[in-house]
Amino acid sequence: MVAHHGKQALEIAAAKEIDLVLLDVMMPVMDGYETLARFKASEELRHIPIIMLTSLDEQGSLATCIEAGAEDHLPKPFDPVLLRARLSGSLERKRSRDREREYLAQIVAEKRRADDLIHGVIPIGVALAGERNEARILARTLIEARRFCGADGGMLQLLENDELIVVQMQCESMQQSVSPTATRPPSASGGVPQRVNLKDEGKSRRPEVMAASQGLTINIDVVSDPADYDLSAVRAFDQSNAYRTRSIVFVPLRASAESDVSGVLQLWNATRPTDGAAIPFTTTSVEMLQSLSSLAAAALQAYRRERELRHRIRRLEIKIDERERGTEVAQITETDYFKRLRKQARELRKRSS
Amino acid sequence: MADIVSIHSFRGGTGKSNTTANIAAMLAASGHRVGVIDTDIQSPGIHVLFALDPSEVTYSLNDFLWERCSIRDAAYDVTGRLGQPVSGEVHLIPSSLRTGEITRILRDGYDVSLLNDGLQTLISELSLDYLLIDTHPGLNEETLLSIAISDTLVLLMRPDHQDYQGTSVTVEVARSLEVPRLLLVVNNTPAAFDVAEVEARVSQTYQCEVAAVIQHCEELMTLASAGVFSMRYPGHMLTETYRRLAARIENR
Repeated sequence: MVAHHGKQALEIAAAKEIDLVLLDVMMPVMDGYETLARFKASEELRHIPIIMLTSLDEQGSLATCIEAGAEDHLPKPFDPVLLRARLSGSLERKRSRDREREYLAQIVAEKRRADDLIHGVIPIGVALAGERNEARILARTLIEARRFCGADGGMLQLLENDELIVVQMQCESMQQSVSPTATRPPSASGGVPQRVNLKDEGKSRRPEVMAASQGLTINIDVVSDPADYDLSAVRAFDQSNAYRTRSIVFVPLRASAESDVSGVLQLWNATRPTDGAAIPFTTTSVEMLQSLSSLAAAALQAYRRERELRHRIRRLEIKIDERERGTEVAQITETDYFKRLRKQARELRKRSS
Repeated sequence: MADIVSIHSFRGGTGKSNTTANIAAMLAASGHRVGVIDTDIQSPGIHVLFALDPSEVTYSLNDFLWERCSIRDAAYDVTGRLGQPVSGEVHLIPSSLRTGEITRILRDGYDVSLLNDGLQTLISELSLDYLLIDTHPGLNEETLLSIAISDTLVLLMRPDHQDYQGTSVTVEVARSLEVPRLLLVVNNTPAAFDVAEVEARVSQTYQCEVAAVIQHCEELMTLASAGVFSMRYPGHMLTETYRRLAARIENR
C-alpha cells in the first residue's frame, strides 16, 4: 500500500493490518520525522516496524530517527538486495514481537482467570462446602453461577437413576424461583419437562442430555448459531413463558474430569452490564462456570458422603439391655462353680506373682 | 512364665479360630514359642488352618482329658506348616475329630482341674512364651475355666446386634473373674463402617480397650481356612492389623 504523505500513512495504518512501513523523510503535508513520532506515540501503531529511507544529505539525522524508534534505515537510492534483506530482518523481528505480545496477552488472561478463581469462584466453593443442607447448596450454586456470568436465568438438574430432574430454576426478569422444597406444581418449571430419562434419549441432540451423558460443556448462541442442537426444551420454555432465550450454556456438574456427572447446570441470557441486552456467554465466563460447577459438585458429594456416614454410624448404635445383662451375669457368677473358680484363679495369680 | 491368652466370643462363627491362628503365627514370627490349644471340643477346627490332617493325629486333647496320654503327646509342632519360615515355634494341641468321641465328652464332661494342670505342664515342657486357647463359644464351665486362668482375654465380636448383649455379659463375667487384661476385637466389620468410629463406639459402650477392628476381607473368605492368612498374604492390610493385634498382646 502506498501513502503519499505521513497523514495518509497514519490513516491507512489505523484502518488496516500493517506489517511494516517504509518511510520517506521528505513528504508533503506531514514529513517523515513527524510521521515517525506520531506512529511511536500511538498505542495501537507503535509496534509496527518502520524503516526510514534517507538520502545522503539526511544521513546526519539518522541517529535522531533511530532514537525516535525507527527500526532501521536505507540509504537512497536503495539497492534491491539490501532492501529485501532489511525487510525480511524487520519482518522477522516484528513476528517475534507479535508472538511475544500474544503470549503477554495470554498471560494477562490467565492471570485474570486465576484472579477470578481465587477471588470469585473459590470463596463460593468454600461457602458451598460449609452448607449443611442440600437444597441450600443447590440454590446457592445457581445464584452464584448466575451472578458470575450475569445470566438472567438458570436451572439445575440432578441426575438420579438415569433421570435428569429439575431441582432449581431461577429467572430474574420473570421473577421466578423454583426449588424442590417449594410446593408448586411441576408446571412451575416453565414448560420444561420435570424429568428427562437419559436412556430414552439415546442419541439425542438435546444439549442437557449430552452434557449429562457425555460430560460436555455446550455453549450455544441461540440467535445466530444454534448449530444442530435439539433446543425443544428451550423453545417450550420460551413459549410457555413468553420469553426469548438468546444464549444458553450447559455445564456438567462433576467434581473432577474423572468423576461421574451428577447433574447439569444451565444458564441462559448472559446480560451486557451496560444496557442489559442478552449476549452470548464468553469463553472466560464458561470456564468460570466449569470451575464453579466442579466445586458445587464436590460440595454436594461431600455433603452426601457425610450424610451417608452419619447414617452408617447411626446403624452401629449398640443397644444393651442392662437389666437383662444383670440377670444373665448373676446366673453365672452366683453358681458355686463360679465362686470356686474365682477363688482358685485368685490363688493362682497370687502364686505366680 | 508364659502368658495364657484366651480367644473367645459369645457366639460362634465370629472368626475365632482364624484370629487365633493368625495371632499365633504373628507371635511366632516375632520369635516366640507359642502353644495353641483347641478347647472347642464340640466343634474343633483350628487344625485345618495349620494343615494338620486328622490321620496324623495320634493323641488329641480328649485323650489327655481321659488320661490316655500326657499333654506332651497331644502336642504337634506345626511351625513348618505355616507357609513362611518363622524364628519362633507353634505347637498345636487339637481336639478329637472323631464324632463318637465328641458325643462322649459332651455326655460325660471332663475334669476341669485336669485341664488346668495339663496347661501348666504343657507350658513348662515346651518352654512356651504364650499359650493361646481357642475356646468354645458361650459361657460353659470349660470356657469359664479358660477365662479364669488367662492373663489376657481377647473377646471377639462382630458389629452385629446378635453379638452386643452376649458380649456385654461376657465382659462382666470376665471382670468378675478378675482377668488382668481384657481386649475387645471387632471382627468382620463391613467396609461401609468407619474403623475409627467403630473403635470409639465399641470402646465407649463396653468401657474396654479395643485392640483391633478387623474389616471384612474377601481374600480371607476366598482362602476359606486353607492356611494362615497372614503367612499367605504378608503384605496385606489385614495382615498388618493382625500384626498390630499380636503386638498389643505381647506388650504388657
